[in-house]
Amino acid sequence: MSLVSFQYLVFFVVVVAFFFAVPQRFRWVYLLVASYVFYMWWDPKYAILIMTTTVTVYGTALLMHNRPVSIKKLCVALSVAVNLGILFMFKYFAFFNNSIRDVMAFFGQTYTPPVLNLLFPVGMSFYTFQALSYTVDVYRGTREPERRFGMFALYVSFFPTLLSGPIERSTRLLPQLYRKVEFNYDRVVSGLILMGWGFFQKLVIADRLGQYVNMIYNQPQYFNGLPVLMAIYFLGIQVYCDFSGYTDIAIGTALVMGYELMPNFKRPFLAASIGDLWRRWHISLISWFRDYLYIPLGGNKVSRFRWHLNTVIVFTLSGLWHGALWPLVVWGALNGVLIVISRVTSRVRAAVRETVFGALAKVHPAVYFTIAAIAVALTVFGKPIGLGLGGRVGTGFAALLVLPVAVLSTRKERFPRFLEGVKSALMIVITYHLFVFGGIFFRVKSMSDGWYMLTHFWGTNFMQLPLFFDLGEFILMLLMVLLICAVNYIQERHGSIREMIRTKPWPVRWALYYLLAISIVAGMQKTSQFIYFQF
Amino acid sequence: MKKFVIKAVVFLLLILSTIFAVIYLQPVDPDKYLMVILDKHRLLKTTPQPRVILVGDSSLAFGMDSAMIQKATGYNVVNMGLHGGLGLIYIMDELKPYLKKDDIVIFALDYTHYMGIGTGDNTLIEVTIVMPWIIKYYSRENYMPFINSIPLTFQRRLKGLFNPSKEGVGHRRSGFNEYGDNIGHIGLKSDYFKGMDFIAKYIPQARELNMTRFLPDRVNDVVVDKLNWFASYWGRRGVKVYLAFSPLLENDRPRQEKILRSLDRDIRKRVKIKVIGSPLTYIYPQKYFFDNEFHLNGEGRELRSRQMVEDMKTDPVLSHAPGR
Repeated sequence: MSLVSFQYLVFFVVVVAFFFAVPQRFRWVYLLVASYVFYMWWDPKYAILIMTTTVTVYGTALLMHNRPVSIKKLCVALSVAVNLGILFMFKYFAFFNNSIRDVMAFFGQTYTPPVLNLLFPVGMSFYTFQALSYTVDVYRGTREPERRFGMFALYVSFFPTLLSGPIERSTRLLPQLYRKVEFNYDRVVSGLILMGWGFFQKLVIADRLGQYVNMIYNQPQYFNGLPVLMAIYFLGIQVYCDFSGYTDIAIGTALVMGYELMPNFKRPFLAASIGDLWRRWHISLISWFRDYLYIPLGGNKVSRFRWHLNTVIVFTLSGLWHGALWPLVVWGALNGVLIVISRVTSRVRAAVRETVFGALAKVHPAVYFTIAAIAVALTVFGKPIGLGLGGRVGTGFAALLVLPVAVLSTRKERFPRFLEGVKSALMIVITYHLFVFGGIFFRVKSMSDGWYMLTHFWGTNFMQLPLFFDLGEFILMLLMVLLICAVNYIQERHGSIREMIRTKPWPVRWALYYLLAISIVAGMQKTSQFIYFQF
Repeated sequence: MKKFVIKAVVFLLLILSTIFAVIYLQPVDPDKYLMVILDKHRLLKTTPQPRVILVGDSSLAFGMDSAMIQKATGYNVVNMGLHGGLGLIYIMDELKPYLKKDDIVIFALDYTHYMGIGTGDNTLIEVTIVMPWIIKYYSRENYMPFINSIPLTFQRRLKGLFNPSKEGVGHRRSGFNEYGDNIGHIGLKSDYFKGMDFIAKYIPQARELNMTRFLPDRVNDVVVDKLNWFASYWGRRGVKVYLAFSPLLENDRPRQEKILRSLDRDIRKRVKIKVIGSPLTYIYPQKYFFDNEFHLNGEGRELRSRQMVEDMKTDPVLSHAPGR
């Protein structure tokens, strides 16, 4: 069942209500049954696949324990081969075969790939990776193998993480499953608020922006100019709210029952570099790749060239993990390349920033006022000299930016601090642009669509920006973007908003809870499936 | 834990009562289009036999002259056509309290119904607000659509509180006649036709494909089962069930005819209901439509009704009412 469905709400209430009534020693059985019911709701046949993964990973871990290295290696190879084999058959078989067909066709050969018609089971990429991390941990001796099969089966199938993560580590989650959990009022409320915020992000923001994004991305060749640019901007926020929404519901669900899952996002759009962004985005997957692929490849403890190559390999494979589509592979590789470029140019960029902002700090306020005045003049009187609507909006925007700078430049003691802020903001804006423009390949159906969007986003067709949406609805979309930015900013500056709310008097707390719940009902859009379910 | 449960229940009640208040306690315009459901149910209850009950959606409400049918066949006619959003299952369910032995039911469904699974949308809630008792006749397939439609209905009502919208003059309860036909639109010229221009705004390739809607070339299995169940259940109780066709806006006629022939074959093969007429005779150019491709105007309505009479005459039972 989907996490944003009425069925899930009922399931959650029933599972949690009985969870605290069930004696501690039987809770794992109860949660295991609940998790399998939850997963089999999609298709009962899925249980066979997850059980296969569970049995092979559990068995090979026990087999390799305290054995010679050669046996250990054999066991790891068996576990990896079985699990990645299943993943390959369901997720990549058609992709690779079709790619072979295309290559052979290029050389004038014909190849008819076999058709398996297998439906990719939701969550398979996530639980497979979660299980494999355990195999490698046991192999490395990071942890002892789990003796209780039921407990291990629960670790693999724990329902909050089953469909889209976070991809937990056995060293974190398994010990928690043994821990005695008591009902704790503050923790339960905190979990519920997190779930509420997750529902808001998904249903109100992601699904709202998704209408605009889908309209453009599903048929980009029918659009050009600013609507394309807006869809590119919206996609980043949509995917973030969609996945972060799911993650918050999952983490909140687990928290209500007393389990702490690892965070998956840490305000990625406030990252000041592309490398920083990937340390804040889908943390559980990226750290998985770091621990189980990047480091075994040598990480950064190799030659510079090999280090950069490792980065590109890891990101290319992370793109492939997201889906069996060439645009996703390109998206992954592109991000790897961007990180390498960012790394290679970091000193030069820092030097340029220092020079430019150092120079800006020395500019006389009169120069800023003059620039602002020219910009205002062009905005107001630009039409007769041939400045189009786009140009005048641009100069108006520039005037709005330069004028506060001019005023602040008269305050000698504040101006350097202000310029520091501008510098940080600029780095954040550039990082966001690198991410969302790369993100085009995350969403398009074909490389040609991606290329079309990259070459058709520029224009001055402001009137077409709202597409067919009411102006009010379009403004609401923009407000939602601002809201998510504001929430992220507050969290970055002041920490957990839930903690802030917790310290407020009860009427304020209740008013905020009420507002959140009613906003979800009043603002939710026609629900779509979580984007990450397809991965 | 007790403290939490009490607070959670209070909070839940607070939210539910807000939703209930916004949806249910807001005054409903008595002349609202959907309010005609009350009159239609009254007609079902009071119209004497021999009678024909026409079942469908708004294309039936806007596009049928029941008086012409009554005059031609001698049957009393009740036109239950109202809104496609109610779904096939609902429009079957709402007949449950009224059908009697020797009644004749003719389904004249828009083609979209053959593609779906028969469940309704938020219109279900709108009619349940007007007639809360009808909920006991709902099939279980409609429970989830009903619950899932609550947020959308809440949003519309909330919007209506601040910005009340009035339905067009052709869409009012007072525009319906004594048979359940909408005649309020006859003679009116709609300001705007939701045709190609409208569709292409949402689906730009519609213009290239020269199509404004998807047409099914076969009936969804769920709908086949539903129709067959209805025919079998009510057939055992002495009700005769027929199936007729809805109007279709002409655009790419050869393509449309090809699809409709396939659909017609599939219906006759799998749906165990007697079919009258051919879908090809109900394809009309835009001049016969009112404000969208589902709603015929006065001329279109007359054309369709005449065709319907012709189709009914091909069946010995439908051609004339017993004793008339």
